[in-house]
Amino acid sequence: MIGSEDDKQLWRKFAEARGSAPTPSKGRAGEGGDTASSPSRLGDRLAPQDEEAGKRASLDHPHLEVAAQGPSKDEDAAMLLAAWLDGRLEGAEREALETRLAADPDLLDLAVSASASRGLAAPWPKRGEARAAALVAASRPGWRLMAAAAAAVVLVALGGFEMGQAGSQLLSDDSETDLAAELGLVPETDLMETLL
Amino acid sequence: MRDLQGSSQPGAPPLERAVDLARLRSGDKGEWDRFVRRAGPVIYAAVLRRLAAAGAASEAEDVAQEVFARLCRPDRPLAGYDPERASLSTFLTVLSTSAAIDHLRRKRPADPIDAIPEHRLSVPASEPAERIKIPDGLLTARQKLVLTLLYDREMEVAEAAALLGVDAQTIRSTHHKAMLRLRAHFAGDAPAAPLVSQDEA
Repeated sequence: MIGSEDDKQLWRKFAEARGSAPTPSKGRAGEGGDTASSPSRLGDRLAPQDEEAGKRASLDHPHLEVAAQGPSKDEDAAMLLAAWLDGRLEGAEREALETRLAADPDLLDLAVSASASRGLAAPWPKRGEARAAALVAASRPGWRLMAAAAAAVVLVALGGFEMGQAGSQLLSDDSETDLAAELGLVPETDLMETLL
Repeated sequence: MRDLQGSSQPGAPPLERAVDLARLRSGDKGEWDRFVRRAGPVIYAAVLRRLAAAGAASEAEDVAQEVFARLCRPDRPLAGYDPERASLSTFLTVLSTSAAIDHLRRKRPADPIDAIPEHRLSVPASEPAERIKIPDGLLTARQKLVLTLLYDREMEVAEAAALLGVDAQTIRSTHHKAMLRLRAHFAGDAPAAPLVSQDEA
């Protein structure tokens, strides 16, 4: 541990004077607590009473529906924290984030916890992979392909109809002639020839 | 759990190079499946690590699914990720850790107001003590963060250095300079001039 007890007391005095007295320690590296903030809190800070009310809220699925609608504030905030963890945040952005981290123990807990998990991987059940994969459905054919297929179906249908109609007409003509001949109504010979 | 650069998949490319972000964002099913295969272990590890510490490891699979549901927006999967700013694995780790923390928070039983002792709801009769004036910029953001890590979090110098991506000597130097300024300020013999840069360390 660096520094003396006097240094520690001086820091406490400074923190209290700033109105951000440190919360009781959460233990080594802040890994034990379960109250760290969502990265969305990198944005506007809630009033203490609102924060407490939010913690007590018993929502079952607070994110899924919202996340499905549009850009996610959580993702933007996670991006900022990830950039800081990767050492790619510079200047005013870095200073602003580090000021927030120093003042917000829950946010710092998230950063410490995420930092400790970086670079890790764990085998996860195959059923989990299948469920996650099913979140995106197989892509459907493009509209051009669909239009071409529909046009082809229409052409084949029309062609079939025309062919059927012509065949039907031919059959009908032949049938009428045969029937008349059978009934003896019209001789098979040419009419003009008969008259002459 | 293993390190991504470990022996399980030697020579495996980083997540960013294994995934075609453009195809993924266009909703390509095959690319999404590939992303799930590669990112799943990273997401699961972050979630599992956080939940296991709270005795809820059995819920890690469901929380990992929640992370994928957050990422899989119908308009543009991973829209919030910018490859220029951070690695994909770090981004996913932050998002997953956050989801795990949110999950643990939701699990906490709500305290009905009737069950809270009245003395805890009462407003203190005494007026708050007048605060000491602290000039803006007495300490830089980095100095405040370093002191927070060392004193409030009780981190070792090496741990703080690892978190901030600097060496241990830089942490000691930052701590030393910060304490000099605090001592000077609270001693009242010479008000410390505001600092202009946080990068002195």
